[in-house]
Amino acid sequence: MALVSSSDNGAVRARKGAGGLKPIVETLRAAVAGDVSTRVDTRKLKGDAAELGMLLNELLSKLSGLLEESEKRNQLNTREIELAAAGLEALVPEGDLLRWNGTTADPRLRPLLDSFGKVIETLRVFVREINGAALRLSSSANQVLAASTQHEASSSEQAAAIHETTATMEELKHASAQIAENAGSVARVAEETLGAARSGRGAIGEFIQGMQQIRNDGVAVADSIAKLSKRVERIGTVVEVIDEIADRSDLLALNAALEGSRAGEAGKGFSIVAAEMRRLAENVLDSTKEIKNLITEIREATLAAAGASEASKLATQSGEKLGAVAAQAVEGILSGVQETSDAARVINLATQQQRTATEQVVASMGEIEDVTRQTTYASRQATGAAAELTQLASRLAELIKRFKAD
Amino acid sequence: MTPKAESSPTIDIVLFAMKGVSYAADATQVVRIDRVGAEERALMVRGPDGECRPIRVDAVSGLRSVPVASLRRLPVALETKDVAVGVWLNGETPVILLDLFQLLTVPGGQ
Repeated sequence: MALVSSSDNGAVRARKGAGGLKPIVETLRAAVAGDVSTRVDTRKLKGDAAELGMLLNELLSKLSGLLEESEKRNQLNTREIELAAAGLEALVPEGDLLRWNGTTADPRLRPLLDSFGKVIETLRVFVREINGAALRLSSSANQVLAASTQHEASSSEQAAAIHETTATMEELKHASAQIAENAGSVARVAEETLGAARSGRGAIGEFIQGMQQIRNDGVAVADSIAKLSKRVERIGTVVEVIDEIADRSDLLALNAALEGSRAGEAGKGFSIVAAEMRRLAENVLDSTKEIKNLITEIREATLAAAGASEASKLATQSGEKLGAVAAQAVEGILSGVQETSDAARVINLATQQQRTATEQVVASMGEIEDVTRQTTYASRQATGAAAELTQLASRLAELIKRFKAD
Repeated sequence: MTPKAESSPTIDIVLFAMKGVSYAADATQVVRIDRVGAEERALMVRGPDGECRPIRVDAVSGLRSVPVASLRRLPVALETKDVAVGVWLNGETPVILLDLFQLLTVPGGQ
């Protein structure tokens, strides 16, 4: 409108100056409207207006040529862009990075297509690297999966072993407790045995003293028996004398009786006395015989007593020896029991420490078992992740394979 | 003792034992009684030559005055070299009467 207004003002001035610019104005209006094929009819113009009309026509002719050339160039560019777009579009479904053709006659498009070519070349490099990385990733993922699977299996085996070890340690703990209890019992029994052995030692000492007393008494008894034997022998000697006297008296009485018998009536009284005397002698002989029997019995009893005394002496000596042996044995028992008691106490203490240590080990094994369980769980998760990673690597490899870069 | 026995004459006999058998002999044949060994006795009898010889006996029980009626002679057929001359009935138990003089003549009789 401003142009029209300006044109209107110009046309007014032209009309006023040249007497008619209407063909020029109409041509300009057509050019402004986009029609550059319209030309000014200069034949109806004169002077400056005709020259202006020719200059405008010349301008429009050049402009039209430029427009035609521009149109051709646009069409060529459009075709090249369509080809490049087709090449780019072919990348999407087929992934073929080798079909890119970036040649162009238009120097203005060349930088763009060169840039696209560089981008596609970079993409090819990326695809190749990604393909290699995908292959390595797949291999590594497989290795990770295998390692995770093995680690999971190892963790499971380790968990089972730890569980078994824990159970064994539990049994060991109970066994240690049982051993400690038994060792305590042994220690108590050893203490009791020690007390009994000490009592036995005292009893054996009293026994030995008793044996010594018996031996002393036996010696006294043997002395008494020896004295008794001597007295009996003395009595025997006396009895022998009495017996001899009685025997002679008997013999004398017999002869007296014979004499009395030979004396006849006169010897009657003598014979009676002789008979009485002989009766007395026989009584004495009977008594001495009885005494001899008694002496024999006493001798036998004395011999038996002496034998018994000797046997008692030997038995006492044997008893003393046995007592000494028993005392020595009891001393050995005491020493052994003392060592046993000490060893039992040491065992008791050691087993208590062992039980404490075992309990600590059991607790530690429980913690290890928890950690192992967590490790197993983590390994299982890692295995799952590795499997998923393997799948992703495979998927990535499949995706990358869609791109042809080599 | 019956009255008849009391009135009968008596004789002194010496009672002795040899090898477990009781014997009796006329006391007048014994000069004395000696001891032989530890316990044995010997009846000292005077032999025909006048010497006293011992007759060993186990024991001498003593002298007794017995009625002659209580003595019995042995049948001749039973006499042995005139050593056993009869029996003395000690109640119902017969005790052989020996002739010590004859016994001295028997070998081994001393």
